Amino acid sequence: MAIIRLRQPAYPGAGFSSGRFGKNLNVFENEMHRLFHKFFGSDLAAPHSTVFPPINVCQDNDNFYLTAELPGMEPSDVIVDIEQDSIEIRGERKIDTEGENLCYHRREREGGRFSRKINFKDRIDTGKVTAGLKDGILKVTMPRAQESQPKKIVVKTE
Amino acid sequence: MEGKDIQVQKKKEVEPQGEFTQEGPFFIPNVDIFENEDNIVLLADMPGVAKDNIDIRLEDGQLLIRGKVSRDVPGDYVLSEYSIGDYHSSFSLSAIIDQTKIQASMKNGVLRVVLPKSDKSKHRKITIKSHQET
Repeated sequence: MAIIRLRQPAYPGAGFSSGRFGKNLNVFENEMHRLFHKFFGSDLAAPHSTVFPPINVCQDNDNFYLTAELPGMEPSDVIVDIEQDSIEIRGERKIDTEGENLCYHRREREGGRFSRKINFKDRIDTGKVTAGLKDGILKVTMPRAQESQPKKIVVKTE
Repeated sequence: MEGKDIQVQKKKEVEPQGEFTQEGPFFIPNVDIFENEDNIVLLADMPGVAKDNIDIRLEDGQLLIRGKVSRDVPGDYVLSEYSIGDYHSSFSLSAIIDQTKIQASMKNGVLRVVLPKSDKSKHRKITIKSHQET
């Protein structure tokens, strides 16, 4: 039988108001929340792609932000192509051979080539895109084109 | 281009041992461990971990590795294929390691730990001399 250890609430102030049983309910609710997410959460929230590299894309009013996990890769090994409504990331991850007469105990890191294309529903200002690779994370900032930025219209009195 | 296509490896989530002040998922990095004549070398993929955010310590013959990543994201998610969380990993070291000479380096999100074998454990060639009769 599994022993479920109660932990402090994940989100302070979340859940029921603190009454006589409030605190215990809070802990219980958070535990249920955690278990639910452990079983269903990660797959429901993030449909993990099987295509390398894994990519996250965020947006705000001005930009799209793309990040991709590319551990061990040099900037010269990655090619990023930008079009008005899409981005393509290509390259090859090489795992260097470390010499002869090695005895491997574990070999989990994989190399190989990859190519991914992501389409956007909005236009990108391709001239202002910046990309950088740091600590094995590729970051691409793509400003939205003027016409696809949300516009604020000032209402005047007539 | 030559070479095979690479498949994505789903991050392995882990329940950390002990109490932690931080909530959120923790992951075990993908590692290569190999051995040559002088050293045991450990390579761990820890994308997003800067050199200063890695903590390596030796406790009771265990090599503990922790890497911190920034969880800040700009704006709202449109696509989310990987989760962000710190890396935790531990390895038992055998007595053959010279624990005073362990070296670690970090480059492009890959940690490299070199664990030198102690002199005792290195293979030694024993030359056989002919027995001199006196």
